[in-house]
Amino acid sequence: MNEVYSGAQERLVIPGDTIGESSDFTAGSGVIKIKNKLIATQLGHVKENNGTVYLLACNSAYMPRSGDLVIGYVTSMRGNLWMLNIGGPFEALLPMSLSPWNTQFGDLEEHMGVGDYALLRVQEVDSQHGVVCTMKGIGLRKITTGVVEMIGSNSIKLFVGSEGTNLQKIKKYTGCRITVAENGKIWIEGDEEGISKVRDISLDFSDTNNPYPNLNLKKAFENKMEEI
Amino acid sequence: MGGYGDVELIAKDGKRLDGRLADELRPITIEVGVLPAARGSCRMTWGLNIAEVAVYGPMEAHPRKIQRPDRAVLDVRYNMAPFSTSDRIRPGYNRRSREISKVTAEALESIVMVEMFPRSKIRVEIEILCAEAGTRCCGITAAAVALADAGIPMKDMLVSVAAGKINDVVVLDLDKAEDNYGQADLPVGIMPNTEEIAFLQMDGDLSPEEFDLAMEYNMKAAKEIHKLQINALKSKYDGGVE
Amino acid sequence: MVEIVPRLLKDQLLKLAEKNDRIDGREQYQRRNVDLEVNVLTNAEGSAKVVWDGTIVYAGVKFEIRTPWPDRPTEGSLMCGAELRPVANLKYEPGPPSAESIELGRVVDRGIRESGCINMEELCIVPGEKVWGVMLDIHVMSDKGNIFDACALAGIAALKTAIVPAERFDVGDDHPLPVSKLPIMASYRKVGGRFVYDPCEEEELGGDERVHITLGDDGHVHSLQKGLKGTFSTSEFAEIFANANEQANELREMVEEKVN
Repeated sequence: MNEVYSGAQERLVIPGDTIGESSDFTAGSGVIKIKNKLIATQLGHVKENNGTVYLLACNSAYMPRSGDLVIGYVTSMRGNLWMLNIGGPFEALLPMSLSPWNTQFGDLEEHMGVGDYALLRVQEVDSQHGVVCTMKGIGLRKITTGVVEMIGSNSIKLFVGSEGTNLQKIKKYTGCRITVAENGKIWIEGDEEGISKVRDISLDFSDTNNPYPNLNLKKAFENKMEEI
Repeated sequence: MGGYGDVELIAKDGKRLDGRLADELRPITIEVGVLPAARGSCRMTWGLNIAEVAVYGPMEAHPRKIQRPDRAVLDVRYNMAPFSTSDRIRPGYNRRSREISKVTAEALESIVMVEMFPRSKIRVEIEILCAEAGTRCCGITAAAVALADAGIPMKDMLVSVAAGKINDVVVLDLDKAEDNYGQADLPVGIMPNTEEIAFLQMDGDLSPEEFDLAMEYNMKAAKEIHKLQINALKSKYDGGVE
Repeated sequence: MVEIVPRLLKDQLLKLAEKNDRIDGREQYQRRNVDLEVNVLTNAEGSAKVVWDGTIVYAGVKFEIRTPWPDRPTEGSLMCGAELRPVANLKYEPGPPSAESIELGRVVDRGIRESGCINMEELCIVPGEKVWGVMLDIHVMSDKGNIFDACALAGIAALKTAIVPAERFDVGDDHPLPVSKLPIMASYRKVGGRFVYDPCEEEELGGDERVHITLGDDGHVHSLQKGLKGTFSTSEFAEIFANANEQANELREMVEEKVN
C-alpha cells in the first residue's frame, strides 16, 4: 500500500484507475474498494487522510448536504412553500415555517416571488435527494441588491484560497462584500466599479457552465492574485 | 453485412485496401471539453468518423414515470446529422438510431454508478457528424470520455471497438467498404481495467475460432484506445504535462 | 424547460445599460470572437463550422436529383433546415422540433433564398425531367447565445464551398455550386432598454425582443424577423439597421477570405 500513500498526493487519476491495493485504507469520496483494490471513480487528484483514501474531483456536480450555505432563486410557489433552484439535481423546498417572515397561507408572494434570489442554508437532505432549506439563521435573507455570479462549486477552494487569503485580497482590492456559497455561486455587494472588478476576476470561472479549475485557469488566477 | 464475398478487400501482401494490417486500427483522436454549453463533452475522430458528445446532469428525471427510486436513468440519444452520410438522412428518430441509443444507454448504465443518484437522469447526447462505418463504437467510446469529463462517477471507463471478417480473414475495425462487403461485424464494449464486456452485438457469419480471434483483436485494441482516453482526460486538466 | 429570469439579472442588465456597458464587458455593437472553418465534413458536398465564442454550429450541404415542379420545369430547389437538438443546451428538450427550432430554420432559409444567391435555373439538368435539389442542414452543437447569426454564417459558407456531385449521379462533371452572393445576418437584442448586437447567453436570458436582419452584398435587406415579446420605435430600428451593414460587411470579408 505504500505506493498509494507515497506517490498518491496530487496523482491525477481517471475512472477505473487502480490507486493501490490495501486492507489498511478505507475508500472515501470518489473511491470504491473492490477486493482490497482501491479504484478511482472520477477524474481527480488522490488524497489521503487518517487511513481514508479519497479523490479531489476536478469536476463534480453540486450535491447539496445539510448545513451548506447556498444561493438560489425561486422557480415556483405553492400555498405554503417556495421551490428554489440551488444548482443541485433537484429543486429545494423552503417551507413557510422556515422563512423569516410571519406569513399567511397563500401570501408568500408578498415576501418573495418567482425570480428572486435568496441566501439560504440546507436544513436536511433525504436519501431521495429531497432538499429542505431554511432562511432562519444569521445572515440568511432575500437578496435584493448587488449581483450573483456563478464560479462553480469546483472552483470555490481556489477562489477562496487557503484560510481565505485570496478572498480577503479580492475584498480589500474591490471594496466589495462577497459571500461565497457552497453551490458555487457568489453574491457581490458594493459600488458598481467594485462589482465590475470582482466580475473581471471571476469571469474566468464563469466561462463555461461548471468548468473545472485546470492548471491554466489556476495559473491565470494566481497571476491575477499577485497583480492586485 | 452486404455479403458480397467476392470483392477483393485484402491484397496479396496481406494488407487491406487502406494499407492497414489485419489487427490495425484506423487513426483515432480524442479531445475533451469541446462543447462549452455542456457539463462534459468529447470530440472523437476515428478514421473518417466524427462524433461529438455532450453530457448534462444529473438532474430531476422528467417525465416522472421514467424516474427510478433506487438509481439514475441514462437518457441517451444517438443521432446522425443529416449530412453525415453520402445520402442525406431525414432528421428525426428512426429504428436504427433508437436501437443504438437503447443499447448504448444500457452499456453506459453498467459502468456509471447510477445508484448514487436516485430519481435523477443523466443526459448523453451523441451526435454523429460524419459516418464511415463504426459510428456506434465511436459514439460509445466518446460518451464514456464525456461522462468522465462531466465528473459522473464510474466504476471503469468503457471502450467500444469492432472486429469482423472480410474475404474469410478476421480483421479489426472495419472501414466502410469492408463493412459493406464483409462477412461479419462484431462490435463490443469493453471495460478496459476489468476486461468485462458491457456491450455486445454481432451480425454475419463467424466460426467459434474466428470469434475467439476477433475478440482477441478487440481486447488488444480496447487497451490501445483506453490510453488515448486517459491522455485526453488528463491533458484537459494539465495541458498534457505529466 | 421553462427558463426563470432572476430578477437580480434584470436589474443588473438595466444598471449596465444606463452606462451603456454590457455584462461581458463589450461595447454595444461589438461582436464576440468568431472563427470559421470550411470543408470540415468529408461526407457533405460542402460544409462549414462556426465557432462563435461558445456557440458552435455545423452546416452541411447534400444534393439529390429530382423531377422539377410542373409549373417550373427548369428550376431546381433549395431546402434549408436548422436543428436545435438537445445536445446544444440544457434548456432544449428531446422531442419533435420546437417552434423555436422551426423559426430558426425558416429565418435562415429566407435570408439565403431571397438574396438570390443561387440561380435556380442553373440547377436544371434536363428541363422538365431532372433538376438538382440542394439540401442545406444546420446543426447547432453548443448554444451560448446568438445561434441565429452563427447558423446563417455557417449556412452560406457551406453553400459557397459546395461541389455539385454530378459524376456520382452520372450527369456530367463535378463543379462548384454557383453561389453569386453572400447574404449575412446580424441579430440584435433589446437588453436593459436598448439594442445590443450579438447577445450573449445572459443577455438572451434577461433581455426582451430580438431582431434579425439579413443583408446582401449591395446592402439590400433580404429578410427581417422580430421575435419575442416587446416593441421598438422606427428610430431604434434605423440605428440597428445602419449598424447591421457594418457587421455584415466585416463577416462577408471573413467568408470570402476563408472560401477562396
